[in-house]
Amino acid sequence: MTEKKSGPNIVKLVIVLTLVSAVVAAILGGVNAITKDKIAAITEQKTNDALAEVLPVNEGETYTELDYTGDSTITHVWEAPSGHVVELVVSGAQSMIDLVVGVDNDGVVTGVSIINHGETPGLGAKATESSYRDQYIGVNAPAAVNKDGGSIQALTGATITSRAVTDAVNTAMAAVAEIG
Amino acid sequence: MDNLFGSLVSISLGAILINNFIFSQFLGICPFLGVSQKVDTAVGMGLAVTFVMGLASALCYVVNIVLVKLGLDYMQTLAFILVIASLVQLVEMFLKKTIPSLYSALGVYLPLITTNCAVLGVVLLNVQNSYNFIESVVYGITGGLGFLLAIVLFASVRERLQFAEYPKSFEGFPIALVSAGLLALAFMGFSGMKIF
Amino acid sequence: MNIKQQFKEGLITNNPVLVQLVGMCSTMAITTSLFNGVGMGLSVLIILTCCNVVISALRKIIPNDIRLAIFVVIIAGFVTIVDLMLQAFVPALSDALGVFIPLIVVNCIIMARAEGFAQKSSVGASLIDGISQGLGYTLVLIAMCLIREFLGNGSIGGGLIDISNGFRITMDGTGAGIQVFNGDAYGSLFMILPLGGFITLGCLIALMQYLLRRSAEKKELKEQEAAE
Repeated sequence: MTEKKSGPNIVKLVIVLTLVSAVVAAILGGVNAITKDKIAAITEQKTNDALAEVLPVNEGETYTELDYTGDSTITHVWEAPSGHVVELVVSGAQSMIDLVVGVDNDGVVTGVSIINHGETPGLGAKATESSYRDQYIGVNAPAAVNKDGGSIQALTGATITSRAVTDAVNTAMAAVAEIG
Repeated sequence: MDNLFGSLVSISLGAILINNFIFSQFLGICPFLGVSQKVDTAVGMGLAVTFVMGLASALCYVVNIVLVKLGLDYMQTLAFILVIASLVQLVEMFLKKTIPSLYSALGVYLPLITTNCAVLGVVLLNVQNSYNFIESVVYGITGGLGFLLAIVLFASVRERLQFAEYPKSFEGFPIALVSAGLLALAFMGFSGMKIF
Repeated sequence: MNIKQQFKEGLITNNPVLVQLVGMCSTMAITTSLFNGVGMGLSVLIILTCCNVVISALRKIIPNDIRLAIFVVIIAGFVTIVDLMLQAFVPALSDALGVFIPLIVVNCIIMARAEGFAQKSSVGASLIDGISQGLGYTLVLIAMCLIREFLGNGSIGGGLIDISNGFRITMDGTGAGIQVFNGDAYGSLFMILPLGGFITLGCLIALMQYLLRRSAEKKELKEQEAAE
């Protein structure tokens, strides 16, 4: 140990700490350079997969992002020839739920996909299963869960999550109707 | 303005009751179990944590803006933990010089806070939920208040546990964990509560 | 200290979670499916081993007064590397564990081993210590996952094992696990909730205390007999 009786030499301590931090920062920079593109590609792939799942397009057609400033839960809106896709971030029972909703040109929901969430595993997390999400396909008027007198079968033990997703779908439909 | 107020109220309620850091997010369990033998010490620890969480949220919000501007957001974890560690050190020195009475009350808990995952957790969650400055600070402070509530409730339960009879193997941590579980069950009653 | 002794300590007699009582946040938070548990355990194992080795190698040149700050920087560095690697190569795990990966920085296990072991032991011993303590942590996570997932959801190995198409290990967290009974109908939900985490860990620690106490009593008895 380099401890001195006269007390720590501040300059030396600062130099050592700076050196260690610099080395760590340099290594992190290197790792980041390797993984950055890969992570960006994965994020983009995830969004694209979600878009294609909720509102499939034909070969050669693309999604164009629209500039939308309306409801604060809506983060992105894309337009495709057959309809619109809305991405929303809404608060669920435990976490923020990031999901996309596809709505075709007749105002009918074509699909719902959950990109990211932190809901309780086994309860709210079941909202990601297709058996639950597919209930929204074909909905064309404001939906509600069965506890609120609607037709959407809420997840057992996760009414809050179910309500949050249902509200998000309704918001998305309203926004698309507004855009036209 | 209305909107901001609404979001602040729902953030506060969420942090204190619905998504309590201890009982539903499992952040800060170590000090929660370690410093909860007595109500007095629990109050001290809770207050110190609240104080640091509020300050750390504000500072790390600024640090994060700088990091994002520089394209260094992958350094978040490293930067945040350094900010928290130096913040705790500064708070300790500041209190020692200016408010010795508060220092003698909180002093012993301050070093423990650096490794409290609730503090690092709250700044990471601020970034993840993309809260603005005011929301971040409110989330930090109310998260700390939630921690305070949890640790004080739990300390009072533990004080009574001394007189309870339970199997010898459950002595110490196990019985504490089981009673914490029952408290978590009570807090589940708040889940999904919504005002706005 | 020999290797066998170190492993015995890491896995049982000085298990980080059950005996040293550190690193409990993640132990309770993420143990809802085997996929999460194994992923988290291996991440901590890797980070712990790397930190132990580096800190032990640098132990002679780290000034004593700022050793904690330097430990934190080194730990945070390794955690960030693992975090970025997971995001790039195992995105499903990174999604599932979320904020608990960066939170490994403040996982007391790593700090405790750095302060209590690596800074005063040789590189080789620190390497073994990292592996054995990491394995001990992973084992507890796996036990917690198996108990909570089975009682709560009626399945074994959720996310990690897929048997719909012959037995295989899924690395992307999509496997449904082996469904033993209908979890929706008969599973006790509370095991999956935070409450279940607290109670399962409480019972595991109690079991550990029971076993340790019994073996100590046996030893005492033997010594008494020998004395007589």
